[in-house]
Amino acid sequence: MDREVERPDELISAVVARLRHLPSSDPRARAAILARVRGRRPSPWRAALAWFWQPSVPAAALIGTAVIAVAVGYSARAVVGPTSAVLTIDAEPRPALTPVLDDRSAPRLVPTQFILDAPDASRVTLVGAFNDWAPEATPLVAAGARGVWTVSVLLPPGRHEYAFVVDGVRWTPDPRAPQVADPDFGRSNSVAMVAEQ
Amino acid sequence: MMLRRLSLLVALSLAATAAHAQGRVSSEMLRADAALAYELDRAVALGLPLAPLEAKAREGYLKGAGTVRVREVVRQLTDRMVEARDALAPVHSANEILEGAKALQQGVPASVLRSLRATQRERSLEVSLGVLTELVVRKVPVQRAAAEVTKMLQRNVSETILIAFGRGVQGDISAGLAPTVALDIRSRGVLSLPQLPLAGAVLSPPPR
Repeated sequence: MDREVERPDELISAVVARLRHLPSSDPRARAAILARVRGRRPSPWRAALAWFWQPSVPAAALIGTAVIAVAVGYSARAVVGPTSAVLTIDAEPRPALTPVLDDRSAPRLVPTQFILDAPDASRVTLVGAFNDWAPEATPLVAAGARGVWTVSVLLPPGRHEYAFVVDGVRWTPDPRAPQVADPDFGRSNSVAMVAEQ
Repeated sequence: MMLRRLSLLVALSLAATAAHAQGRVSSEMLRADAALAYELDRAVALGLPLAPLEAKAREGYLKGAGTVRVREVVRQLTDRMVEARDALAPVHSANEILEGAKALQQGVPASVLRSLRATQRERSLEVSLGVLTELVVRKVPVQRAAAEVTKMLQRNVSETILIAFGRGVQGDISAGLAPTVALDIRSRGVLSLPQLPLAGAVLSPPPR
């Protein structure tokens, strides 16, 4: 039993002794290989991957600094108070009459439908201050075969002046709405009094 | 640098194409007229919102007005907006200034604007001024119309009811009633309602 245990040790010793004497390589060939390896530059993709997987010390330091800065900033914010304090600083003297509308008066838009009976028209558009008097911005669509044109737009409550432009040239006030003379440019507008429902 | 210039060129081309697609006269096109550009710059220097003035110029061009007339109208609107802003002090919104200017154009004196502001300092007068203008356009005497609108503001009547009141007077006059009669009837209808809490757009003072 003991002899059988000792025999593998002899075998291993013999293998180790053999491997310790590796054949020597040609030093000139080794130098040539090393020189060629040093001269080869890695591709950009390989370099990027290498940077990602093995971040260099400066990059790690940069990321670490950023993380610490964010953490310190948040902690300080909790201690110092909300950022609204920054908004109250009088950096520039504001004009006394600066208009400031409260948030509660934010746009309350009302769907408003406009209709024009124009059987001979091939194109009808709606114009008003609400669309910057742009003649192509708000086209009406033909509703049915009888030449009735219609469009719905969202308008804030209040008084709005508008008109239709038929076939790109004909200024047409709305016959369904009251009209108002235009002392500035002569052609009458229609008036819509839009209210919240 | 070359890439940046190319991007700017593409962005400008896209903006011009979008503006052209809507048939809208762009700000750049308006400013091609040096005299109009001067009027717009004057308005900016006076601290006025530019959008209503540009919209007025666009309306003029769309109605076929000549450049001289457009310039003149923009200059007059600028002056009225300054007057409206002063009358509506100490707080106001851009829309209030415009509605105030429209009221002035229809013959509402600046003193009425000041009086309305004194009545309501926390609430936007945009809708009230629109209703007042509409009443005056329909030949309701200015002082009578202003008195009724003031009473309604003092009663905290909502904007919805104010507009319904304006529409009612408008409709009655179209149906043949005398403007003052229509005003009295519709005003009585509104003022007989129970007093309501403050409603409508609210103005807040400028931050310090």
